[in-house]
Amino acid sequence: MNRRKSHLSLFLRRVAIRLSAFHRELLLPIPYLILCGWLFSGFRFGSPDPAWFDSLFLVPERPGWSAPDHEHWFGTAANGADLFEASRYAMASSVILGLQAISLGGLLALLIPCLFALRSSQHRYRELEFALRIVRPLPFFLILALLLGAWPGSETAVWGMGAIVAVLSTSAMTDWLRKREESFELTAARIVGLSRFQILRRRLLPTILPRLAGALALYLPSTILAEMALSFLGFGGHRASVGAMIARGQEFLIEAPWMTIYPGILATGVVMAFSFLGWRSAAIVRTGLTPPFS
Amino acid sequence: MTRRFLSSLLMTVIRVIFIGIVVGFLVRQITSTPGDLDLGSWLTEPWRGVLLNRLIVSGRVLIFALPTILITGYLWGIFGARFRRLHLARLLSLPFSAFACVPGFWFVILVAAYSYFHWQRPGFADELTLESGPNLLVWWHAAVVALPAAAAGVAWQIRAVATHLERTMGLPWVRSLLLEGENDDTIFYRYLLRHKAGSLISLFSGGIPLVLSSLIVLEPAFHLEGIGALLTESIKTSSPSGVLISAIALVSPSILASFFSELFPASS
Repeated sequence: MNRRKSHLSLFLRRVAIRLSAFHRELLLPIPYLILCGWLFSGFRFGSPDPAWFDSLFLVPERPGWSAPDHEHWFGTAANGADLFEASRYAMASSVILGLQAISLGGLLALLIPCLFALRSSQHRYRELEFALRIVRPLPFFLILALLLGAWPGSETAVWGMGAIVAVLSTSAMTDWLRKREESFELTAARIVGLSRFQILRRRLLPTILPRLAGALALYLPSTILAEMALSFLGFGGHRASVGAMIARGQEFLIEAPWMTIYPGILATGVVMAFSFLGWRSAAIVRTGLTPPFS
Repeated sequence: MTRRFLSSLLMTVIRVIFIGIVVGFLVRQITSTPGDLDLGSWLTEPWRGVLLNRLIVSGRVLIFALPTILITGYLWGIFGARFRRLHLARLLSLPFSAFACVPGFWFVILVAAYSYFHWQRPGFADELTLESGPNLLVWWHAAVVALPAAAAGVAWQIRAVATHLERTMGLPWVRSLLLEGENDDTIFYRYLLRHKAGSLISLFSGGIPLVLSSLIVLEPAFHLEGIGALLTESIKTSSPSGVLISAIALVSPSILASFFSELFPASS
């Protein structure tokens, strides 16, 4: 039997092929949305009351803390507050800061190489690559610690981490742009007579932008970890953060070990989830190896 | 070679000037009393002794962390690239990547809790005094700190080495060897590794800033009096000399490593 297939079945088959090609891209935002939705449910944007965070660790004469049970999964803090909710709030605060830094870094990483890509010179990325070669081998966390030592606060952390992400992403972006410029398609576009702006908008950015998104997804867990580390060292100001919770909770390691161990488990789980999603995103958009967030 | 050496030297000089300006500016901002930068007092006794002790403590951690990164990173990276069809590089780097997700400053809590509930001693049994024999306790402390410090570096190094070799496997000259009838092992170990040795060596400096950065967090967390702890203490006490000296000590290995890595052909 060699019957010709109906138009409907051909159309459905085509749709199924398209969907199967994009299913990974379509499905990936769902775990991101679930994770962020769970973290930010009940989150109050803006600076929380610093006294609320301090009261978790101010031990009265009769401490109100209790070990984890069915009602309080992470136990309760010194003032009797649920530690799970406090940890989730602190984690959400760290993630928000990481997202802000990633957004800022991504914007800079997009803007700076694109400005260089508009130049008509043949070695248009040379100066940028030279500047990146100078900066890239430095331990960035040292600069971040010094920055926050000089100007403590969330804004400095966002700007500092954003700058680090920008340096690392710009480095990768420049590499991708330079390699793409060498391709046959771009040579043809130049011969046809497309302007630099047209080449950038139509030929370069559509292929480079998804890879940048993959790189930013890879750097998100690193920024969250960096933020928590800075808070642990005491450079985070009075912001609620899991790093600060662990630093303050370790005084009660013997009496109430759940005050440090459980927030750490939550932080590890969240960072691992973001890392896994980042690896998947980077694999799907073929980001490749990016410079390490040091 | 001479040209490459001079270019690396020039890059290093520019890097030193750049970092000097940045760190100098930030130190000025950190210190509350500008003008009290007295490096001379740091280089005389007893500060010199303090600095030396700090360097020794951090050095012990680096002795564990850096060889771990280099040996594991290169060996497993090469192994992963050889068996690239099994995605072995990803599998081998996975445990280290997963461990790098564990905040290092929290890992210390687990170690301390373990020490308490198993040995009834909180922390790292620092109060134990050694009566005879080599002081193995300090090496144990350094090894525990080196474990989280090296995790991210090892993961990155494995992937960097494997990715670099895998990219080369697709080049026309490698394909032509396959067409000539050479087997995979011969192509990989005899031709590819030998051909790419220089650019592979240039990858060694990637993990060093990672370890040095992690020392800034891990040493205060583990109450280890190294150079990273000196930096955080100095920032908190607004001590310009302490910040400057510790910053120089932490940046120097990175700059030195990048100088040596630039002597070899670029990896990208």
